[in-house]
Order: sequence, then structure tokens, then C-alpha cells
Amino acid sequence: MIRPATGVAWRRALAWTLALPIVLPALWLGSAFGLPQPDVWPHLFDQVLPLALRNTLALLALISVFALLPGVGFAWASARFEWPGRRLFDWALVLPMALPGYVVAFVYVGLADYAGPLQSAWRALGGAPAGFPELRSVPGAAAVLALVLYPYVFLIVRAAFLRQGSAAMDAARSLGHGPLSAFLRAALPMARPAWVAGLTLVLLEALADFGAVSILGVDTLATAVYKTWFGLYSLPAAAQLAFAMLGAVALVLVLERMARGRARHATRQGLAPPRRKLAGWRGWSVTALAALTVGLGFVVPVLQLVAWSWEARAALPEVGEAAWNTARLAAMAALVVLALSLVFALLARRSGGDRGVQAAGFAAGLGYAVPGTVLAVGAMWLLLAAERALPWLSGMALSSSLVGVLLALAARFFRVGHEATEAAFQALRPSLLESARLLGVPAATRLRRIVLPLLRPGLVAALLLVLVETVKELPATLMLRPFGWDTLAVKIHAYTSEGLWAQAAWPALWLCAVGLLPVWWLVRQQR
Amino acid sequence: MSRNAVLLLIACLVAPSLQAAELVVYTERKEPLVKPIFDRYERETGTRVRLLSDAAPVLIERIAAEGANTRADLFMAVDAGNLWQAAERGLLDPTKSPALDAAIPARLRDPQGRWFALSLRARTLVYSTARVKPAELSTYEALADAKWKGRLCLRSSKKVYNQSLVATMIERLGAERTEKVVRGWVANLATAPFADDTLLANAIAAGQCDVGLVNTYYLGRLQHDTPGFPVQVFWADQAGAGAHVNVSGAGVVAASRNKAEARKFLEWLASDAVQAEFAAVNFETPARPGVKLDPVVAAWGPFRADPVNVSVAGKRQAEAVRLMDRAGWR
Repeated sequence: MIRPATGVAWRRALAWTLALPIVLPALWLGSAFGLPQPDVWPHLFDQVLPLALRNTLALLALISVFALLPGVGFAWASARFEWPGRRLFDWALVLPMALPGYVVAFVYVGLADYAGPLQSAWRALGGAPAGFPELRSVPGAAAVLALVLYPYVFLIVRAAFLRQGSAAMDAARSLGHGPLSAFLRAALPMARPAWVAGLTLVLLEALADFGAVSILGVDTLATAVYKTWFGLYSLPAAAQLAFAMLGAVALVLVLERMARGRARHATRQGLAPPRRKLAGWRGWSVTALAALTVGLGFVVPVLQLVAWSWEARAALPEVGEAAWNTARLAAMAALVVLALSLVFALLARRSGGDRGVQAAGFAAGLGYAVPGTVLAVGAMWLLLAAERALPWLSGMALSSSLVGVLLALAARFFRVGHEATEAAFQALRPSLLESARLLGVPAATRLRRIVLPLLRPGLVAALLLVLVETVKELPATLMLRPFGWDTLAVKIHAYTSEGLWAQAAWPALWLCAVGLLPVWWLVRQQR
Repeated sequence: MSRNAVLLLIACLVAPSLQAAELVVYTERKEPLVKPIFDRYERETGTRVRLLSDAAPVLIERIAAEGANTRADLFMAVDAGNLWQAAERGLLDPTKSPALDAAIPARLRDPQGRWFALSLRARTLVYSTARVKPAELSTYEALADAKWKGRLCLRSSKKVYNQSLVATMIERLGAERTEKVVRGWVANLATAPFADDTLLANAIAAGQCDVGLVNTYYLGRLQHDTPGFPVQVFWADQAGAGAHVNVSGAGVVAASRNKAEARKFLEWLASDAVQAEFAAVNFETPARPGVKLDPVVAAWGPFRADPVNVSVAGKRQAEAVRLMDRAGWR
């Protein structure tokens, strides 16, 4: 930057002012420490947390493996190699993202549990019941969640590999490294910001997940939070637990940043090298693996949903309005998050990477690690406090308008949009803007003619990622939606919570359809 | 495009505005089970009934936080424990109604009239008709016997239905004996607890286990959809305390501005004709005695219900959860 970072103070103030509404719901959790829960905590420490902590750590470790292998593997295969069906799988591999974890979980419990068709067939063929892997377990939950979460890694890492150019790989190869070794020592470390970003999204998503793990019978920290509230009837202790989780997550994220240190992962905008052809069985085995992944993560669940809908065809629930609500709500939330992300990214750059400004963005993103319902309580409390403090607001019934749910969704998904927006800014070379400035182009024109067009692909990606997330979101929407604003996720929940799986399939199919639109657009954008 | 989006945003924020002549029900009982009844009320009286569904603890928190501004007129839950919690928090007002007092037996309503049961949900034993003879079954406690080792299926202890069952057992047997029983159940489990009762009943049908504890309506749906479903209801403890019965019920919200209208709606829900439909939608038993039963429900026969006041489920809920945790029931 040529111009020194003037006015850092007001930029910091602005950043924190904007971050405040979405930080406060999470911060409120901390205020619960003002209400000590001496009779709840000993029980949690003795009976609940040891198992929940063990399960959560094991789940996160396994999901890391299960999501990174296909995520990074297919990203590399798709960016650097040519194999049968590669163009098809470029987008097909993203499809599982459109399905919420809780839907895929109930599909697989229906298919693969003892009473389901798979195990019944297995026993009919003479297999021992114990020989069939137990789906309702930590590895089972990790596999199911990874099936729908690996596309985050795939999308982000693939884009990084496409940008990477081949110079480092070529250098490594010329120094005598084999292809695998060169990949591990050159390509992968260079893409570290990308796969760390993808993995972070996956892990935070898994940490906050309640729906899938409860269907799969795995007690995690998130289920412990709910149990503390719903079972032990201690909302303060639930908030304290959620706040502690938040603290741990923040610590890990900060440590990762520090470990990355001052290393700048500059991406030389080299052209991606031409794809190498994988001939014969090598190519086909990649195709087979990709087909298996998409089949398990998308085709099988969708077919099962179709079959269930067919079973329940006599009384399919009305879902048109819910679908429309889902689309509208998602669009609004995505626009809010995108606007905020853009402001934060601009502030961060114009303040020369000031720590205070960056900290505001970081804090605003922490809501992603908090289970939705707990965060929603924070948002509700915040709005109601505002209504009480400012009586003229209460006429607008904030707590039962869309403001509440949008606030909670923004708090929950800001990180997703912000990360993607920051990544988009990496494509913006400062020298270009400096030249424009030196040529006397006014700021507004610079923004409109240079910045926005260059950022467009990245910004669209940010928008769509938040769209997909919001379409799938359940707990915060459920809790804060105004009357008549039932979304598809709410409909699905109404049936699944009553054990009416077949009836839940129809809204789930619609949810999948609504979720596919942004996914399809996202993939087109990434070409 | 972006200007349209902004306009859309504003339009949507303004859209959900208030309307008169309507009741708002915050309900844990899910939309598919109540919407037909609410629509019928609108057809019969012209009063629109709108609902907001979520888990009861969330709704309770929302009503409490909204305070005097709440739009809720009625609170409806599917578990006596949550009704008790709402009343304890001072969120429900006593309703004086001779009609309701006459319709709903005393042990199925709050002594002060802050909530009334509308349907009964029995949680009792179910067994495989292929592998178990009814004569082998007796009480909840007997399922702790070693002869059921590897043959019992349970749902997660995180479900409030199980918490209420254990809460009434603590009331009846004392904490020590109850914990022993629950430990016995856990030792007899054939597989990890299920996420819902439908999965559990299917597991018995498929042969993963032989007996289990479910709310009967889950089985009712399966029996209705699959004639000859090989799982049947056994009414627990008929020689003793009787089968555990939970309730689905409702009360008038203290901050409601339509209390008279809300009371009328409650009375309507407790009336003869509506009671039959309210329960039959989900194969439950009407709270009002003498109302005609759905054939699926009638086929299970009459039973003796545990006479304890159902609000015990609320008082002892946290105690029950701790006990189940200690006993290793996940």
C-alpha cells in the first residue's frame, strides 16, 4: 500500500460496530456465567462430558480424514488430470453439499440399520448380524457427515490447485521427487490456506451439528448442550457449556493462524498446466471412486427419498409455500452476509491489515461453531433487550419478524461468507489498484470498474455458499421464524421428530431441489 | 438485481403483520397432528388459529422472554413435564371452566387449572408376537431381569418420554430401586438406544430384540400401515400401579390478550366430538373419558393407568435425567 493506513481508529470502530450485533448473541452465552449452576456442573463433569468430549474428538479426527481424502484427492484429480467423465464429476462431486446431514443420516439409518434392507439382505445371505458394521456409532456418524461435508474441501482446494501453476511441482520433480512426494512436499503445502479453510468449515459444521448425531445416537458436546437445557432444564449451564466450546474453537483457530505465521501464501497467477491424461485402468479407477462417492453422498439418498415419497404419495404434505419461504429467507440471509463480508474485507484492506479490524471479523465469525439453537437464544435475548430499552421498537415486534432470524443466520454463517470473500480478494493485486489511483481514477469508479468485476466470481461463491447453508439450516430458523414462515427444514423436522420418515421425504426432496440451484450456479461459476 | 433484492427484503420484513380475530398457539405438538383440528375450528367459528411449532423448552424460553409482548395465547406441549415447567415459570394462567373440569379427570390437569390434558400417550411394553408370549411379561421392573439379556431395546434417554417414565418410577419406587431397575435395563440392551420409537418397533419386528418400551401411537401407525405387523402392545403392571401415561395438553398463556377466546378454544378441544378426532389423528387415547376410540387403539383393549398425577414428570425430570446418566442409559 502506498497510502499509509490513516484513519485506522474509525475503521476499527466501524468494524466493531458492524460486528457487534452478530458477536453479541455468542457473547451473551458468556453472561450466563453470572448465574452459577453448582448442582448441574458436577453432574456434567462426572456423567456427561467425559463421553461427549471423547466422542467429539474422535468424530472430528475421523471426519478430518474422511473429508480430506476425497476433498483433496478429487480436487487434485480434477484440477490436474483428465479421466473418463472428469467434466461431469467436476460438478457432480459438489452435489452432496445440497443435502443436510440430518437428512442423509435418516436415510442411511433407514437403509443400513438392523431392520433396513441392507442388513436384512446380509442376514438372508447368511451373514452374521455382528459382521455388519454398526452405522449408529462414532465412525458411522463421521462417515455420514463427511459424505455431505467433503465438498467444502473439494471446492476450495480445487480452486487453489487451479490457480497454483506448475512451477513448484516441476521444481520438486526436477529435484528427484516422485509424483506423490512432489505433491506432498510442494503442491499440498502451497495450498495449505485452502485446505485449512475447507477443513475448518467442515469441522465447525460437525461440531455444531445436532440433527445427524442424534439420529445416529452419538453423544457429542452439541448434544450435551441440548441435554443440559432440555433434560436438566438449565439454560444457563447449557449456555456456559456452549461458551466454553466457543472459547476452545477460538483458541484453536488463533493457534492455527499463528502457526501459519508470517508466511504469505502468495499465489502466482500462473496458468494451470494442461491436464495430464490418465490412461487405462488408472483413469477408470478415479472415475469409479468418484462415482462411488457421488453415489453414496447424493444418488442413494435422493433415490431413497423418492422411494419414500412414492410410498406416502396418497398424502403428500403441501410444501410449495415452504419452498418459497426457504428460497426467500436464504436469499435475504445471503445478501446480508455478503454485504457485511464485503465491508469487512474492504475495511481490513484499507486499514493495512490492522489487527483490531481483523479481530472484529474473526470474532463475528465465531458463531459458526455454536449449535444453532443456543445461538438463537442469544439473538432472541438481544432483540428483546433492544425492544425493552427502546420502546418505539417493540411496535415492530422485532422478535417475531424476520429481523431475528436474519440476525441469527448472519451470526451463524458470517464466517462462511467472510472466508470466501477474503479468498476472492486474494485475486486482487494491489498494484492494479495503485496504478488506477495514480492515474486519477475516482474511488467509486475504481470500485465499480476494477474491484467488483475482479471480485465477482469469488463474491458469487460467497453468496452461494451462504445460500446453501441457510437452505439447510434448521434450529435457528425453527426458533426465531415469524408466524407463517415455515421453511422446508422446519417441515422436515415436523415429521422426523414424530418418526414419520416417509412423510418427511417429500419436503426433503424439495429442500434438495432448492439447495441444488445455488450449487449448480456455484459450480458454473468455478469453471 | 440488487435493488430488487433490497425491495424484496423490505417487503418481506413488513409482510407478517398482525391480524385480529385469531388465536396463536405455541405448540410442541407438531403441525401434521394439530393443523387439521385447528382448521376445523376456523371453519366452525371463524376464528383463525395460527401455530408456531418448536421444542417445548424453546417455546417456554420464548414466551418468558417475550413477556407482555408475546403473541402466544395458548401453550401446547406433548409431555406433562414441559406443561409443569411452563406453569412453574408463571407463564400460564389458571383457567376457570366448569366445562373443562367436567371433561378432563383431575389427575390429568393442573390442580390450579393452568393446563389440561387433551390426549393420553401411554408408554408401555411392546413385544415380538413371534418370540415372546404375553404371559412372560408383567411390569416395567421385570424387564431388568437377566432373562431379557440381549433382548431389550430402548430409545435414547434424551427423549422426554423416557425421562417422564423414569420420573414416575422414582415417585413410586424411590430413587434407589429405580436406579437398580434402570441399570438392569441397560445391562439387557440388545443394541445402542434408538433415536425414535418407530426405529425401535421396526427393530423388534426384524428380530434385533424381543421387547421394548414405546409410546403406543408409534406402534399404532405401524399396525395401521402394515396389517399383521409382528409387534404387539402389552399393558404394563396391570396387577399393580398400572401403565405409565403421559399427556399432550395445553394451557392459557398468562400474557395473552385473548384469554376468553383461548378458554373457549380449550373447551372446544375438550368437547366430545373434537376429542375423538384430536386423539385419532395420532392413535392416542382421548383425555376425556367415554369418547369413541380409533379402531387401532380400541384393539389394544382397556387398561389401568398409573393414577399418579402426571405433573410428577415435571417435578422429577432433572432427577430422572441424572439417574439415567448414572445408570449408563445413553
